[in-house]
Amino acid sequence: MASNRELTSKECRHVGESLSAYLDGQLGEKERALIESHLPDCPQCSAELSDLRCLVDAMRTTAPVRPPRSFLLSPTMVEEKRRRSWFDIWSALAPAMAGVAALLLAALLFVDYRLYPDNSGLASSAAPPTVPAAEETTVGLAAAPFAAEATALTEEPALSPEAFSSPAVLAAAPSDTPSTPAAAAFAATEPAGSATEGAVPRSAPSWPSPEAATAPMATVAPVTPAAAATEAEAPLTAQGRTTEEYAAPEAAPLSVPPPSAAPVRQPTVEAADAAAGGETAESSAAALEGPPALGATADGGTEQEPAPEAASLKPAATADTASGAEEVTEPASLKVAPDAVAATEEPMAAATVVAAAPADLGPATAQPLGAPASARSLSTEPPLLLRLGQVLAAVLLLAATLTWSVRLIRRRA
Amino acid sequence: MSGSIPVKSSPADPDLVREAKKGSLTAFNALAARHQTLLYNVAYRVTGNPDLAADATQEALILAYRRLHQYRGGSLRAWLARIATNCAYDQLRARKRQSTTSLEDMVEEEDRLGALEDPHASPEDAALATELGEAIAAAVLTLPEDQRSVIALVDYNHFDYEETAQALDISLGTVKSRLSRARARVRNELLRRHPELLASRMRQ
Repeated sequence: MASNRELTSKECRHVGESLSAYLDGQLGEKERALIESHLPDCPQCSAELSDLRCLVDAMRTTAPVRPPRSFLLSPTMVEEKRRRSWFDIWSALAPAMAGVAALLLAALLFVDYRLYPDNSGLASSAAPPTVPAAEETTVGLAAAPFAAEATALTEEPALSPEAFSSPAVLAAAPSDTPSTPAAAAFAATEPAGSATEGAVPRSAPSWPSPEAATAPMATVAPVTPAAAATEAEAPLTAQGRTTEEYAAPEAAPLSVPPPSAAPVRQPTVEAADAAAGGETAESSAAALEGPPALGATADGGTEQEPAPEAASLKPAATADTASGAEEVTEPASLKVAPDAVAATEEPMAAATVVAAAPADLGPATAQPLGAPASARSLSTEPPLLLRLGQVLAAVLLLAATLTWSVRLIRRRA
Repeated sequence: MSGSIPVKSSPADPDLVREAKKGSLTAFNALAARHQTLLYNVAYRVTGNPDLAADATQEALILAYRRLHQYRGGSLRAWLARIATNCAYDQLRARKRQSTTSLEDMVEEEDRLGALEDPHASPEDAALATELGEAIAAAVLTLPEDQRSVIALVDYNHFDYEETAQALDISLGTVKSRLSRARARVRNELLRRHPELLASRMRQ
C-alpha cells in the first residue's frame, strides 16, 4: 500500500509537471497516453488539470489591452538616434584612429631620437642628469677637502703656479686636512649638496653654442692644474664674501642672475683670476669671457657683470683666506647659515667641483669628466611641442585601442 | 482568440522589413502599426503598469528601428517581442530604482483603478471573467520575471512554444518547464488568495 502510494506520488509529480504541456497539446504520443491513463485514477491531478485549464482559458480569452496611444516613430525620434550614436562613429573609426595614432607616435619618437639622440625617449630625458649628478657628488666629496686646502695654500705661493702643479703640494693638501676635520666635513657636504642641485639647472639651460661651453672646461681644467686647484677656491672665496661682503650691495647682483650659464662660467673666470694672479687675470679672464659673449643668451648682459665683480672681490677674499686654515673653517661653517647666499653659491660650487675634479684626479681624467658635461649641454632639450605631441599621440592610441576592444567585446556579446 | 495582430491586406512583413532596412520610416511605421498592440500587451503583462508598458513599447520600437539590420529573418513578432520584453524589464528596473514603491503596491493600485478591465470583453459572464482575470493578472505579477514573460507571451499573446523560445532566447524545453512552473505557481497563488474563483469554475 505504502509502496503503491509512493509510486503514485512520484507519478503525480511527473504528470503534474507535464500537465501544462498536455494542455497545450505539446506532448508526444507516449507522454500523452501516460497522463490520460493516470488522470482518471488521480483526483489531485485531475483537479490540477481543470484549474490550469481554467486559468489558461481565462488568460487566453482576455482580449488584448488597447494601447493608450500610437507608438509610431516620428522623424525626430530617428534623428535622436543619430545624435546619440557619436560613440558608434568613434568606435567605427577606432581602428583607423589607432593606426594613425601609432604612426604619429612612431614618427614623433623617431624625430625625437634623430634630433636629440641624448634625450630620445620620454624617460631618458630626465634620467641622464641624475647619473652625472651622482658622479659629481662623489667627485665633489673627494674634491672638497682639497678645495679647502688649496685656498689655504693660495696665499703663500700666490704668484707661483708651479707650486700647485707639483703633486707634492697636492699630496700635502690631504695631510693638512685632518687638522681641520670640521672644515673638511663641511666643505665636503656643502659642494656635494650643491653639486646635485647644481646639476639640474645646468642641464636645463640650453647653451646656444656648445663649443663655447666646452672651451672653458677644456682649457681651464687640464692646461693649468694649478688653476683648477685654485679654482676650487671659488666656493671658498664666496664663503669669504659670505662673512664680510655679502652684506655689501655687490652681493645682490651676484644672486640676481638666473641660474643659467652665468653662474657656471663665473667660477672659471675667478679661477683664472686666482691662478694667474693680478696681471694675468686680465688676459685669461678675457679669453674665458669670450665664450659667454659668444653665447649671446638673453642674459648676456648680466653675465658679464659678475665677471669684473668677481675680479674685484677676488683680492679681498684672498686677503681674508690669507689668515690661514682656521679662517677657512669658519666661513665654511658660516656658509650653511644664509640661505639666500646659498642660492647663488650652489651653481657656482657645483661648477667648481666639476672643475676641481680634474685637479684631484689629474689632467688625464679631466677630459672624460668634462666631456659628459659638455655633451649634455650639446644636445638641446626637445621642444615642449614635441613632447606634447608624443603624449597626445600616446593618449589617442590608448583611447582608440580601448574603444576598439570594447567594440569587439560588444559585438561578440 | 484571434485579433492580437490586426490583419490587413497590405504588404507582407518581409517586404516592409526590406523597405525599412533601406531606411524607409514609412515602411517601418507600417510594421509598427501592425505590431504595436502586441508589443504594448507583452510589455503590459510583464510590467503590470500601463505607463511603464507605454514607455517600454516606444523604446522597443525605436530600438527595433535602429537594430533592424540585426534582424535576420524568422518570426518578426518574436524578434520584436524580444526587444519589448527587454525594454519592459528595463522599465521595471528603472522604476524600482526611482521609487521605493514595491511591485505589490503597484498591483494593488492597478486593481483599485480597474486598469485591467477589458473594454472589449464579451458581455456574457463579464463580471466573473473580469474578477478572475484580475485575480490571475495580479497573481502573474508575483511571478519572477522569466516566468512572467513566458506567461505573457504564451497565455496572453498566443505565442507558440517555438516563437516564445525565439523571443526569450531559450530552448523549447525551457519554455515548456518554465511555463509549467509559472502556471502552477499562478494556480497556487489563486488557491491561496481567491480559492472561490477556481472552485466556482470547477463546479460549473
